[in-house]
Amino acid sequence: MKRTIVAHVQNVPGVLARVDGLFRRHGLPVESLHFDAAGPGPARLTVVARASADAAGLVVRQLRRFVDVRDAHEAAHDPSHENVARLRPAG
Amino acid sequence: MSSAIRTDASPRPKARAARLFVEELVRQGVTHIFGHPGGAALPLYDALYDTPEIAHLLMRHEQCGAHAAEGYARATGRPGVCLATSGPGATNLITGLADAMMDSTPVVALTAQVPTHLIGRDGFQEADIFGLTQPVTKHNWLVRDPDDLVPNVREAFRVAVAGRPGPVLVDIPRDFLQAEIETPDEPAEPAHRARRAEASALRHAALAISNARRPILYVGGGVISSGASEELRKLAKKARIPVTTTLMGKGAYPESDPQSLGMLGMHGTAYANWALHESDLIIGVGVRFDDRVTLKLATWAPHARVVHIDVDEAEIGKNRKADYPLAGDARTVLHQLMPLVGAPDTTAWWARIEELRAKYPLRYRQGPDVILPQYAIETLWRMTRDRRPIVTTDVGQHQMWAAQYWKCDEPRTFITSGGLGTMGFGLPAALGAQCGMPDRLVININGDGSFQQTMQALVTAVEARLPIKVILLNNANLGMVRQWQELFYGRRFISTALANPDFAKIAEAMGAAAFTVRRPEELEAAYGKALAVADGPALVNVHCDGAENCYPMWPASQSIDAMIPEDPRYADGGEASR
Repeated sequence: MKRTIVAHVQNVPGVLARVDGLFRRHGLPVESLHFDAAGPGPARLTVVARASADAAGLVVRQLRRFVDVRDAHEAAHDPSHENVARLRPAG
Repeated sequence: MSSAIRTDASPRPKARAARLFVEELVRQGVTHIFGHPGGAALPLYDALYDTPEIAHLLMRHEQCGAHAAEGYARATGRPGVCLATSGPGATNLITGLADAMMDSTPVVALTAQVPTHLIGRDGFQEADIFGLTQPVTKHNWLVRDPDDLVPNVREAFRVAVAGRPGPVLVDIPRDFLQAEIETPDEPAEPAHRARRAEASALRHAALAISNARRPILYVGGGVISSGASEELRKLAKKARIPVTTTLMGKGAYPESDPQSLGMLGMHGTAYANWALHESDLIIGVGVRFDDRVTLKLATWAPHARVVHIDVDEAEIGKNRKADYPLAGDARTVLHQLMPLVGAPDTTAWWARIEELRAKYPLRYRQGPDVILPQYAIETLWRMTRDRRPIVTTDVGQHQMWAAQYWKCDEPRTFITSGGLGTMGFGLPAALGAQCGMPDRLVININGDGSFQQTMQALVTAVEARLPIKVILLNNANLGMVRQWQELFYGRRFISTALANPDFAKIAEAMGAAAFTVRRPEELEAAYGKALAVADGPALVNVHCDGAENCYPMWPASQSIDAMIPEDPRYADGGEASR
């Protein structure tokens, strides 16, 4: 099912690839990805992806291991997230 | 070096970035760098020219440098440092970084990058190392400003050892190394706080341990990383709980102690695996319930509840559900647990374990003519055990036999590639371990297949006069692959027989002492000669039985009933020599 994962990250080059890399490794198709940053410093990343509860939980815990990620959690799925997708991975 | 914390805002004196960078390495306690120079790295090497505090070992391949840094780190507990130039130099590190990532080894990799104006423009020897190494490092940095150079490297050393250790990489554009930058402030003392477990979770886990009837401690590399061996021993003794270790955990608990069941898993002792299967409580410490231990998760240890202690929260419940999750530093959590745990009644449990131990002994049959690898390993162990050697292994059958027959009594004395299973690890790792522990006897147990992946590291050992001993168990085969072809692919042997060169001649040509043995009675004398070599490496080329298989073997993805406890040829009831 669709799940929404929110990560509070540092906006540094490469942080998106790190986060996306986890979804890629677990083979979780990302349906939308919203990166909210007002410049360098703290930023908020919202990812909607299809995942089992188990996989989403593991991704959240593995996200927290990243040095550039301050916190991550699964949020209640909000369909409006899908409409604010500004960055859609190809394929 | 700058001498004091500055409180005024006046500009600090400037100096060459490469110089300040190398001074920072000295400040971080770096004694050895395992590297290979190249164009982009030249300013760094030029700064090393004036740095007698750091010995640079010239590796003949960057993968060797990464493994040597791992060996140094695993033997000492301090980060190992490897260095490569841009492009191919840096990409050659990747296997070693992936290995360090899997085995939670603190390695600091330093790579030079092409000058900033060429990055992203396909400059000569440019590779996107920051991108390429993201999945195989705990964290990495591409230095974006010359003034970030020293802060980035400080952070790299901190991250490498904090919490669950791991490899980090700092990629440095060449022009930044040549820049003039302000001398950095003295670093603040890092505030390191070991993570503690929550009180209520501890109480629940302690109660479960106290009430267990068939408890077992399943311990791994996390115990060694955290320095928790003493706390583990105290808990095991207080509650009289049997201890089995993973490959990475060898040495975390003394294997000569009667409470040790040796290694578990695919090639672990059958009695450890059966004990796990029958246990009612598994206390996993610094382990990740990986597939070489659990084989088939759905049927593994079906009667057991699980206490899981790990500093990495992401490990807890990843593979096996934890009934009592204790996220925290192994040493701290075991220390917290101690006063809360009572002694469960394990009398009947121990009787059962002794039954299993008697039923499934670890043994082999050494005949009069051909050397068995198990015998070669055990003979060397017997000859050297009083010297408390540090052993490194490569990957394959010899690694599993070493895990079975080389009894380790202290942590950081068994250094092997566990998670990634990297052929080529053992020899360079021995070199790194010897650099870190110059007064210890360092032995590399190797196989003929894996030796050929990184054998050029022997040249570096000769150059640096490192007295490592290489025991080459030469069965003229990629033995473990051959074993799988024999057991699971209908004996259709393909690409596993090796037409080997004469390894003693090769070693001699590289400048090492070398000995060859073919018969069991020759072993001790050859070992004796190799052990006496003090001014450089020595290699013993041991021609072994190429048909010997490694047992016990618990086939991948199968339940414990499929485990083959010993060589089927022993079913004739004849005596094994051990």
